[in-house]
Amino acid sequence: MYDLIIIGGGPAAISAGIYAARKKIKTILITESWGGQMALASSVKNYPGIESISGMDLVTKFTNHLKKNDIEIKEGVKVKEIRNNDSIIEVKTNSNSYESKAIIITTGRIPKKLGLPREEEFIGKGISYCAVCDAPLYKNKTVAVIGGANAGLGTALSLTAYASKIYVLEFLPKLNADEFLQEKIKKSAQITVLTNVEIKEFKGEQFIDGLIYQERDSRQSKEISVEGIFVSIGSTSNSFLVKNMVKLNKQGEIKIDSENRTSQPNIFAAGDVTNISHKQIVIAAGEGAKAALNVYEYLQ
Amino acid sequence: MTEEKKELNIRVFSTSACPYCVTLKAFLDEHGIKYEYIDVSENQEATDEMVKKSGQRGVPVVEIDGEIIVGFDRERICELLNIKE
Repeated sequence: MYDLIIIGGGPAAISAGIYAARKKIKTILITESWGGQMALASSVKNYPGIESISGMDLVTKFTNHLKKNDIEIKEGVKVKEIRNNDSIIEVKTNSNSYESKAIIITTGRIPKKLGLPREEEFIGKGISYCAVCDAPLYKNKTVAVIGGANAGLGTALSLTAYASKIYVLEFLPKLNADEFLQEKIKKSAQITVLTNVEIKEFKGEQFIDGLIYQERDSRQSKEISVEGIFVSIGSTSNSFLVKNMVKLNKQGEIKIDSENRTSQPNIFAAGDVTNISHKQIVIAAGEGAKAALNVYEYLQ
Repeated sequence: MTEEKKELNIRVFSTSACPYCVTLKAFLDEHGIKYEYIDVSENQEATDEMVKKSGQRGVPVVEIDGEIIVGFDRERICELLNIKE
C-alpha cells in the first residue's frame, strides 16, 4: 500500500513527485511517457532561471532531478483503470495493480482528432499529432498541416526544415494565429495556405497518399497528394480515467479547488488536466508542488 | 531487476525529440541494456529501413534480434529481454 500514486509524466507530475519524496510520502509515479506538452515545445523561453531551452532538454532536466529523489517510478506503463473503494485508491495497469491512500491525477492534455473515417488506421502511417517527434520522417515529402491557429502554423514552420512542400488547411475563412507567425508563413516558398476548407477524406492504402477537402464557399471537392498529415487543431483534457469519479467542467477538465482537491477527498489533480486558467509549464510545475503538499496535509 | 542475458542485437530507431523515445531509452539505460541508438532524423537510409521493416512511419521502433516492436511496448520488451519486474 502506497500513501500516494501520481499518474502522469509532465511538469505537474514531476514536481509533485519531487515534493512528495521530500516530504517522505511513500509514493509511486506511473507514466506512459515523460514530458507531456512540455516535450512537444521546440523551444521554451519563459521558465524562470532557464533563458532558452528545447522542450525535450527541459524534460531531461526535470526527470534527472526527480530520479535523484527517493521515489518509485514506473515509466512506459499505461494505466487502464482507477477505482476508489472505501477510501482506498486502486490503479490497474496491464500487468499490475497498485493501492494507495491518495492519488494525484496529472495526465495533461491530448491532441484533438478530426474524427474522420480511417484516421485511426493511418496513425503512424502518414497521420501524426506530433510534429516535433515525426517531422524528420518526412524529409523531401509533400505534407499537409490541418489547423491554421498558432499550433498549426508553428507545426508548418517546423516542417520547413524537412518537407519539400507544406499545405496548411484551415476551416475558417482566415488564419487565426499571431501576426508574426502569419508573416513567417507568407515568406516561406514551401508553404501554401488554403483557408475556408473542410477535410473530407483520407486517401491511401497502407500509407497516406492524399486527402480530399471541400471548399466551403463553392462546395467543390479537391484532392491533393500528400504523404504526411499533421493534425494540429488543439488539445483536450486527458481526464477519461476519472471522468465518472470526479466532477469535470464543460470542457472535460477536472474541477479543482485552490488546494488541488477534486470532488473526491482522496483524489487530487494538477496541471493541464485541470480547470486552471493558463496551461504553462511553470504553472503546471507549481500546481504539482501544491498538490503534493496538500496530499501531505490530507494524509496527516 | 535485470537478469543478464545472451548478447542480443538491440537497435532503437528514434528521433531526438519524441517523448516515448526518451522514455524508452531511459528504461533501457536504467536496466543496463546495451543498444544501438539510431537517430533517423539524421539518417535517411535508416528511416527507409525502419519504415520497410515496421510497415509504418512512427517512432520509436525497437529491433531485438530481428523482431520489430513499434512504440514503447514495455511488456513485450521485458519479455524479449528477460527483464523481471
